[in-house]
Amino acid sequence: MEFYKNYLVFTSDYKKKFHFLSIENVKDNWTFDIDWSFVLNPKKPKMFLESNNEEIENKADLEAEKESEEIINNFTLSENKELLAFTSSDKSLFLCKIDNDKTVTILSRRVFMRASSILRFSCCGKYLFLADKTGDTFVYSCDDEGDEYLSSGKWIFGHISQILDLQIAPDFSCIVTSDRDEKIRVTNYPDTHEIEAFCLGHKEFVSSLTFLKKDNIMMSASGDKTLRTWDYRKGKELQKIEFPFVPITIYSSSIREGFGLIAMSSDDNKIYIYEYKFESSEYINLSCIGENLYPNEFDFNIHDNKVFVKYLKNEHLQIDIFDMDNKLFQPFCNVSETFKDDVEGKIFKPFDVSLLFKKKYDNVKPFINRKRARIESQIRK
Amino acid sequence: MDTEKASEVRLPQKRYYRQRAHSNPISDHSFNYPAHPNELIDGTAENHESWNELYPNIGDRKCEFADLGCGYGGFLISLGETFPDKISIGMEIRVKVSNYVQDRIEALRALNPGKYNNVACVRTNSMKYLTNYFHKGQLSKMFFLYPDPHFKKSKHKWRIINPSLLSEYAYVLRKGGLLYTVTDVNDLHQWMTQHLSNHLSFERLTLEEEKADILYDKLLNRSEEAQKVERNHGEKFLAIFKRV
Repeated sequence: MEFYKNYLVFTSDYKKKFHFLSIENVKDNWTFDIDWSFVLNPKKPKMFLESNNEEIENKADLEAEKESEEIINNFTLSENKELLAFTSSDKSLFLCKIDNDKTVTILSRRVFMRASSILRFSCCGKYLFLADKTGDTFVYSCDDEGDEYLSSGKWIFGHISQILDLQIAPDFSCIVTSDRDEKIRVTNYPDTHEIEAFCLGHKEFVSSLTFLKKDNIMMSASGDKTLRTWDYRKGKELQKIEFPFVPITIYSSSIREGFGLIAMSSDDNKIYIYEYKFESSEYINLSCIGENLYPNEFDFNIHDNKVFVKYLKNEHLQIDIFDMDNKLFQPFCNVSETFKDDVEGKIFKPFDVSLLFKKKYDNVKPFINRKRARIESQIRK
Repeated sequence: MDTEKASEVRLPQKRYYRQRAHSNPISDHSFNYPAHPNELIDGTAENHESWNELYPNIGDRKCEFADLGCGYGGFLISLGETFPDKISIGMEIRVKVSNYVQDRIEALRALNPGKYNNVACVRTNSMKYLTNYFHKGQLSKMFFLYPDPHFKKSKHKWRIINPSLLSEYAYVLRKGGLLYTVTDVNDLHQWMTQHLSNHLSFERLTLEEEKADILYDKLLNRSEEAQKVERNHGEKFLAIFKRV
């Protein structure tokens, strides 16, 4: 969920179209219908040393894919709100320009190789970073000088694990990525071959990262039932906050001098809102909304001091405004009702977060037992 | 080993520890590893020895040499003999093979009191957990001897020298530290040297500098793999890169 001027930008249950909804008037809304026949640049992103981009071999298959089954996976808006980028399930990356007259023009459609997990713009919307489920991160230029925005992607760095979140530091000096192992990697930008630090200490997957708008402090959410704050440039843990549940997605925003707002979804299917005091690192639970929410389908954003949360409850997408004074969630829009997309397709089901936990598989103990038995029998002889 | 203490100390026999040469570095096999390198110093790592437990008289010294995929440990032990004051660690992913090296070191220590206290082996997946063991710039030498070639193009990502991991190796190596590679597969040698040369944090030593390295002959002859290649009259390819 993002903002374009006074409009909330989001996808509905089917993830087929973008909706723009005025925050002042629910009746004022418009839709961006995607032209799925837009020509794809089939050149694969550059891996490692390759000097030429290979074309995808099964290009014919790709085009033959049923249009009706393609859905929007990730999307993001540039800082200046002029560009909209999204990835779709057919592994193409769309770059679009939002015009003032409520139209969106597709600029390019480029291919990527593996299921995407995260998409982010760099500062000024000059580059797009795309992290995929196998752990690789690619950069795509969005520069309109010299048709760069049409060119294929380029590999920049990777994890030996699934990347779960990617955030760009507020001062744009580094890219922070977290993975299904317990790692948070702080990579220098633009010198992406240099690792500034690892933020280590989590004991399970790190699903979400957010920057507290204060010097060099980042917060992470992990399957080990903790939120931690870090001096991320030094890889130093500052604070550990423990919960009786697993925090899944976190967002933060500064609300007034010295205070931040932290919104978090959890595996007990609730959304929690906290106030965070920078000076003392204290946090206060402001409110909680819950039962049957999908922790994976949770969105949060602030515009003009209005706090918006989007969540999926009992198969209904809902947007609420969180009232800071009364600490209450007030219904703003029932997305499922208001935007019954005129499309065929299935309602999107978020994946099950419990799959991120690793199965324990001990292959040491059986060997040690056999060895002990062998040695004992040798002694007996 | 506990039960073996009852009998006289003997070096372990390799035939009880044989295991196929390949392992999937991406899979979710269970490993015990420290959540943070500090846990090895203060002894708080769950189900994992601290540096003090691995090396009986480590004192204030830090582990500086790492042999990644140390196999049966032939080179690791020779490394410890060459640098008696330096602490060296071998990392091996295969259960039986790493246990062999541990038993071998324990037997060597028992047979040669006061010696071999500067070498140890841990079972771990160094491709995933290397940075859980070492702080930034802690290592001065890293060894990649006869790594699994993973011939198929789709498996190239599994190679232990790849551009993603080179940045991690540059992170744990101090400036001026050395990274050694040896293989008997020419294609892999080309791949490793090409990627290392292309990485902005590494620079290859000149041929003269490589030959002058005190470990040059040992690298080509002292590991089990090297001896196997020797017996088969195969070729061996070595490269040394400096962290810049």
